[in-house]
Amino acid sequence: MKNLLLFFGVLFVLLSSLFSQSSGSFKQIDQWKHEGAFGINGFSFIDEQNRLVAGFAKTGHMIITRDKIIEFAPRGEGPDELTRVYTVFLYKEGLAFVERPDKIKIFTPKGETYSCKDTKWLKRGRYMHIIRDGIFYDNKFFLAGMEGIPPKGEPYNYNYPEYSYMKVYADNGDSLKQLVRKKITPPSLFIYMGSQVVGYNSDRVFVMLDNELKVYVVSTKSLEIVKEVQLELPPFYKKMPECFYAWKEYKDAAREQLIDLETWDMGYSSIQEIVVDGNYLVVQIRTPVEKMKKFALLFYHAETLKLERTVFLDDLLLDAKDGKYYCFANGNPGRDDNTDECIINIYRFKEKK
Amino acid sequence: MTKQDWLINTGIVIVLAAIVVVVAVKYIIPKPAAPNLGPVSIKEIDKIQLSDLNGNEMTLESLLSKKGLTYCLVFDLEGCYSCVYRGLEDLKRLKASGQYCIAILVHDRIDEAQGWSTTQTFSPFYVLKKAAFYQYINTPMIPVILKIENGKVNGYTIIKL
Repeated sequence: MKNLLLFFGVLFVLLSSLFSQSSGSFKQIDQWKHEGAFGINGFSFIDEQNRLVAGFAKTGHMIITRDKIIEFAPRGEGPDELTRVYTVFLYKEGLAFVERPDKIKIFTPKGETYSCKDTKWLKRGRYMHIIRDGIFYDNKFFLAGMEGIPPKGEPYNYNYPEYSYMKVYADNGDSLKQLVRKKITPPSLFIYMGSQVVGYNSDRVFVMLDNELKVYVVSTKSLEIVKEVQLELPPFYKKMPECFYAWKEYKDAAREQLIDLETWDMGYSSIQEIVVDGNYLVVQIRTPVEKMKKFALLFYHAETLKLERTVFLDDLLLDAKDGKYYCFANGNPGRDDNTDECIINIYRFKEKK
Repeated sequence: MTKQDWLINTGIVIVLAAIVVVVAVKYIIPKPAAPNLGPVSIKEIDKIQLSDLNGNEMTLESLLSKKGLTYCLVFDLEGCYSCVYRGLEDLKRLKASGQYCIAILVHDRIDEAQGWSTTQTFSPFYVLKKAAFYQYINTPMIPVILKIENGKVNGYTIIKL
C-alpha cells in the first residue's frame, strides 16, 4: 500500500511538472485595450518601436500602441497610401508592404508614423502570385503564397497542375526561384490556402502551408530546400480532408464560399501564425475541439524540430518579438466570439529554474 | 355547317391570325431605334486625353494609325491578372506580324504606371485616367483588344482565360 501511494505520488509529480511545462509559465504581462470593431485580421507586425502595425477588414492601416491607435496610409494608390495589402515585414530601416499585384512599397519612420520612400515592382509571370506572407532576409524577398507554374508548350492552359508556394525575389524585384512545388489535381480552390514564412539563424527560412504540420527548410544561400520535416502532431490535431479544396461551383459564392473558408479556418487544425522566438519555431494552430481553448502554441526546437512545449490559449497570435507574444484577445476579430473590442494581450514565456 | 367545315374554317382563321401577327411584328410595329453605341465603342475619340509614361499628354486620336488598323489593348491592374498577361502577349504577336499596336493602362497615377511598365517587355504604353475611361469608352469588360479604324471601333476581343 505504501509503495502504491509512493508510485502514484511520483506519477502525480511527474504529470504536474509536465503540465506546468506545457502551459504554466506562459504568462500575460501586459494588455492594451481600445474600442472599436475591427473585423478579420489582414496583416500584423511588431515594428522596431514595439508597436503593432496592422490592418483589419473593417479598419484602415493602423499603428496600435498601449495608449493609442494611430491611423496612417489611407486607402489609395498615392505615394503615402496603401491598398490591397497582402502582408508587411521589416525591410532594412523601414517596413515593406506587399500590395496586389506585384508591388512592394517601402515605408520609413516619419514622426510617430511612416511615410513611403520607395516602390519596388516584382517581375511578373503569367500567373498571379497570391502572396500570403513574406520576409526580407539575406538581402532577398522570400514571399510565401501560391503561384501556378505554366506547363511547357501549353501557353493558354490555365488548369495548371503544378504550383509553387515560395518565390524568392532579388532586392530589385527580379525573380530568382520558385520553391515548395506541389502537384494539385485541377481545378481546385487551393488558391485560398494560406502559407507562412519565417527566418532563422540568418542562413535558413522555414516555410509552412496552413493545411499541414510540415516544415520546408530553405537555405538562404543556395535557395534550395535542404530539409522537409513532418512535425510531430499533437493528439488533438484535426487534419483537413484532402477533398476540402476540390473545385466547387458555388451557387451563392459570396455566402457559400465564406462559409467554406470559415469552416476550414475554425473546423480543422489550420495554422494561424508561425514565428521564431530564440531557438524555437512557434506554430499556432486551431484546436477544433469543444471544451478546449481555441488555439495551441506548439514550440518546436528550431534545430531538431522536435515538439518541446504546448501552450493552450484563446487569443490569436499576431506576432512575436524579443520573447513577447502579441495576441488579439479571444481570437480572430470578426470570426471568433467575444472579439468586439480591440484587446491586445502580451505574453512572455518564463523558463522554470 | 358540318363539323368538318367548322374545323377547316377555324384552322384557316388561326393561320390567318398568325400571319397577321408575324407581319405586324416584322414590318408594321416600329422597332426601337438602334442605339448609337454598340457593345464596345469609343465616344469622341478626339477628346480623349492620354499620357505617355513621361507625363506628356496627347489625344487618343493622335496615337492611331493614319493608314489603317490600330490594335489597342485597354486594361487595368486590378482585374484578371493572367488576362492582362495574355492580352499583352497577343499584342506582341500582332506587333511582330507588322500590325500597329498600343496598350492603354487605365490608372490614375503615371508614376505607378511607369513603375509597372518596367516589368514589361511590350511598348508603347499610355495612361488613361479612370474618369476618362468611364466617360468615353464603352465596354462590358477589360482587358479588351479594340480594332480601331477611321476613329471607330470595328471589332474587339475581350480577353478571358
